Amino acid sequence: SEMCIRDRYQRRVRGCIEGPRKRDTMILLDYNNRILQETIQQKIERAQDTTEKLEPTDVVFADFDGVKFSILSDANKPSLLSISLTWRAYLDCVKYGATDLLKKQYGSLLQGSAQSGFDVTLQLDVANPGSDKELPNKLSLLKRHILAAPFYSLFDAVEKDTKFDMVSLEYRDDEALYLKKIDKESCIVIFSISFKDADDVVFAKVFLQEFQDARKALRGVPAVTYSQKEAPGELKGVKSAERLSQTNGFVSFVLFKNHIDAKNRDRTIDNIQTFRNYLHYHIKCSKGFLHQRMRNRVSSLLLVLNRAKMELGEKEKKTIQGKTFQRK
Amino acid sequence: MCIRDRYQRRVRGKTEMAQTLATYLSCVRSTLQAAICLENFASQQVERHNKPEVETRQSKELLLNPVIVSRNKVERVLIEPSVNSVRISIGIKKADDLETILCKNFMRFLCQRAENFVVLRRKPRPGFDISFLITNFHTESMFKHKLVDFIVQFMEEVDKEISEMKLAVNARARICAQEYLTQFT
Repeated sequence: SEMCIRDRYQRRVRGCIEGPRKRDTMILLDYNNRILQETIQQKIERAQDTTEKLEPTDVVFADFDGVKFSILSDANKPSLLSISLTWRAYLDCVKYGATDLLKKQYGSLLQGSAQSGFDVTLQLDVANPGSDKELPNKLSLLKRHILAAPFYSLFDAVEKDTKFDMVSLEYRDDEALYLKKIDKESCIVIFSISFKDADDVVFAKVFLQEFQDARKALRGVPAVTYSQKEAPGELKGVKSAERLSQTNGFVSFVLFKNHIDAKNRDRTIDNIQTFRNYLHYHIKCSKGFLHQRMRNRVSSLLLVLNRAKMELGEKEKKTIQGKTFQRK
Repeated sequence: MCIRDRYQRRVRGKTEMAQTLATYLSCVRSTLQAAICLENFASQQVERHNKPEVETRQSKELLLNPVIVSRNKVERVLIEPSVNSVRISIGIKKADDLETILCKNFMRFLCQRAENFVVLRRKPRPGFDISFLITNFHTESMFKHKLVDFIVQFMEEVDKEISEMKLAVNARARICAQEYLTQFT
């Protein structure tokens, strides 16, 4: 590349000091949709490239929690992309102001009515994307902004100390999310998480015990509690919670002022949305890692066993007189 | 207690644990050496068949007394000899829930590969975690002392592996929890 030696050295040193970004090492999950971001980025670049005609687009892909995206454009105007999303929890989020939030984020891109089969649509002309280089990234946060609506309502209610009815979002088939205000300083977010495999419950217990204990080592983090059999006290009397407590575990995050004030609330919402998927992701990673260990251990045990095998030596033997015979 | 006494007690505790393990394994080893004395014996029930008598259990005179070598209620080895075969069933240390499922998964993993491990039985005996079946044909093609070595080493390695896996899961859990929660600060 055209960097001079000094720049290359500086970059390398800075890289060593800052360390790899945590999302590069795959410990933390992205909270935006990378497929959406990269597709839009590619389309914008293709549109700039005037040598080849832009092809019409039809891409359908999914995101966590049962969200389905579609990017569509037809042959008449291949650069006009319709980006649509459908989600079981969309209407619930609209009750808490999701539409206004999307209008604020996407302005004129937000369409009045969604494509058929979807809940919300944004329209973008990749031939005139505007000057914002971050547009693909902003578009990829569509799901995040929708789910942020109830959180903003909750945080506002805490700061202004107004009454707030508990939010009960069944955002997945057999799981729910509960948001409740505790007092004017804190609020609680409860995840009801289902585990298809009974072994996962044991792994989850180990992981969540560490989450609970992390508070002792770290300052200023949310307080986490976990219960497998019973719904937590904050959910007493909630019908869906009673139904789910038969099969699901409950994880509660207590968020304090330093998480919900104006400076930090966006970051809190970014991170807390993917918690359930983060937990399952790491449980699966552990299982994969343990499989790898077991495979290695099996091959080392086989080596030990092979030492026990006798070498069945030469079958052909010779007598002194020169006759050969075979020992069976 | 002064620091020196506390240190001595801790070191002694660790060596005592290691000593009971060594005693347990040496007892298993000598019992196995006595039990794995096998000779070919054709089936008395079916003509021209040759079955491991410890599995068929049809004739009482061909079965020898079973022996249990046990370290505690959970960790034990059941050795059932007979004239042409020996069945060795092992109960593995399981201290808590996590170790129980790690043990269960590991044993299932091994049993699925029983064909590679010639002497392994696909299903463990009820009440135990894993079983071996050694027949006279195995002793004819493998050295007996090496077979006994294998079984004892197997027991050691499985215990070691399970504790290492448990440590790995705990370490991973701690890192995940800390990484996730520091995002909020």
